[in-house]
Amino acid sequence: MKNSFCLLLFIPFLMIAQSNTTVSKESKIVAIESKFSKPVVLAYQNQAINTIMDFYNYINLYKETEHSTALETEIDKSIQNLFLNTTVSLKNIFNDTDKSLSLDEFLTECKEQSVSILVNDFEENNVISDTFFTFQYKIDTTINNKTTTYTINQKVYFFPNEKQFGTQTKNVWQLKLGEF
Amino acid sequence: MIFQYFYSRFTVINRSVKLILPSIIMTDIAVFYELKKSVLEHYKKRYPYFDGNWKTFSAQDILNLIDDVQEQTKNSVSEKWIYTHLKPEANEKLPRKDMLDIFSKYVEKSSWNEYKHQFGKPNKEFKEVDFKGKSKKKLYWFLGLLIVLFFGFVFWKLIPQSNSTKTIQLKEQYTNELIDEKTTKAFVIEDSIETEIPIENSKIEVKDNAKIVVKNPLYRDKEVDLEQNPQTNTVLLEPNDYASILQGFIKSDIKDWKTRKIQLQKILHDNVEVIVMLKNNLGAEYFNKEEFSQKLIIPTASLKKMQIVEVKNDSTNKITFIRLIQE
Repeated sequence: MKNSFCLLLFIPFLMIAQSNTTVSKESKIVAIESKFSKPVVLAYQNQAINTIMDFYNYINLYKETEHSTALETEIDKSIQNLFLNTTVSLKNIFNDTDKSLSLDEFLTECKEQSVSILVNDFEENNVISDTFFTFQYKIDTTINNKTTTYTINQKVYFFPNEKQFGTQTKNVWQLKLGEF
Repeated sequence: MIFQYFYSRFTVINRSVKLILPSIIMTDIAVFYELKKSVLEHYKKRYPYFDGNWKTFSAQDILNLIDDVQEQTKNSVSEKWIYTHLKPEANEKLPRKDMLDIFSKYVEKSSWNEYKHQFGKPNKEFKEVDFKGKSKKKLYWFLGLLIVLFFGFVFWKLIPQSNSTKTIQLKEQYTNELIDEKTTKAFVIEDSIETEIPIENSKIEVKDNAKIVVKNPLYRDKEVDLEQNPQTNTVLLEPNDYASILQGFIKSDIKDWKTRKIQLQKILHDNVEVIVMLKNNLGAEYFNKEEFSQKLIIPTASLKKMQIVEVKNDSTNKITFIRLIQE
C-alpha cells in the first residue's frame, strides 16, 4: 500500500522528467518567462521566427543545386544545425497521410520532389511553455506545379545548455527548431 | 635625473669640504666666527636695545660699534672693514691680525692669540661642527629644491591643460579613402579610460595633446599619442584582412561556397565564439565555428542583414571572436 502511494506520488515528476529529455539531458528546466522579461522573450521569439524562415530558405535552395550532392550535403548540414536533433518528427506535406517524417526523411523528400515553400501568416499569439515557444503559421507548398496550403504548429526550443567552442565550453541559451 | 644631479653636487661639495678641513686656515676662521659672536654679544651689553644679528646690524649700529671700539680700545676701525669682515655671514679669509687684536681687546681679551687660545682648543670638534653645519646647509638647500620641484609638479598637473584643439582625418591606409564613420568609433584615452568622441565627415576634433584610439571592426585598432606626435593630422587605419574577408562572405550568395568553406577553415580559430546580438541588445545567440561556418557557406537572407561590429584576432591573426548585430 505504502509503495503504491509512493509510486502515485512520483508519477507526475517522472512524466515531466521524461518529456524534457528531448531538450537536453544536462539542461535544467528553467521556465522562460520566470527567467526573462517580456521584451527579451519577444526578442527571442522574433529570432525564432527568423530561424524558421532560414529553414524554409534552405529548403528552397535545394532546387538551385542542380542535384550537386556536395552542395545538397552542405544544405543538409545547415538545416540540421537549426534543429534540436535529426529525429524530430515533422508533418508529411508530401503525402496525404498522418504518419510524420523524421527531419532526414523530410529533407530527402524535399530534394527528390523539388519542393518550393512559401511561408506566411505567423500568428501573433504564440504559446510560451517552460522550454519552448509554439508558433502557428501557414505554408504554401508547390510540388509539380501543384500548390497546397498547410497550417503548421511548430515548437522552437529555448533552453540553457553547455555549448562547445572548440576546446572551451560555455553555458548559453539556445534556440533550436523542434517538431511540427 | 634632477635628483641625481643635486645628489652628485651635494656629495662633491662634501668631498671638497673634507679635503680642505684639515688646514689650519679653517680653524682660525672658525675661531674668528666665535670672535664675531663675542663682539656682537659685547655690543648687545653696551646697547641693550639692539636684539639682532650681523645680518640686521644697521648703519647706525656700525657707527655705534666704531665709537664703542674707539672708546674701549683706543683704536679706530673703519666702516668698510666692518662691512667686509663682520657683517657677512661667511668669511673667505682671515682678517689682518692687528684688526683681530683690536676686536679681541674689545671683547676683553689681551690679544687675538689669547682669544684663539681660549676658543680654538677643540679644533677637531670645531672642524666637525663646521663640516656638519655646511653639510646641513647643503642638505636644506637640496630638500628645499625637492619641495619646490614637488609643488611645481603638483601645480603643473592641476592647472588646466592646453585647450587648443586640432582636427584629425580618418583614412584607410592603402587606398587613402575616408573611413566609413558609421562603423568607426573614436575614443580619447585619459587615465586608461576610453571616452567616445563624435566622428563627423570622417574627422574628429581633439585636444592637441590628447591620446586617441580609433576602432573599426574591419581595421586594426589604431592608437595615437598627439603629445608625442604633434604633427599628426591624419590617422591611417590598417585593414584587418580576415575581418574584411568575413564581411565579404556575409554579403555573398551561394556561389563559390567551396572556396568559402576552405577559407573559413583558415581564418576562423577552432575556439571562435560568435555572438549575434538581437535587436536593441535584448539578447544574443551564440555560434561555434562549425555552426557559423555553415551559416556562411550557405548564406541566407537573414545573414545578409547582419553587420560585424567587433572582431578579435589571435597572434597568428586567426579570428577568435566575432560580434554581429542585425540591421
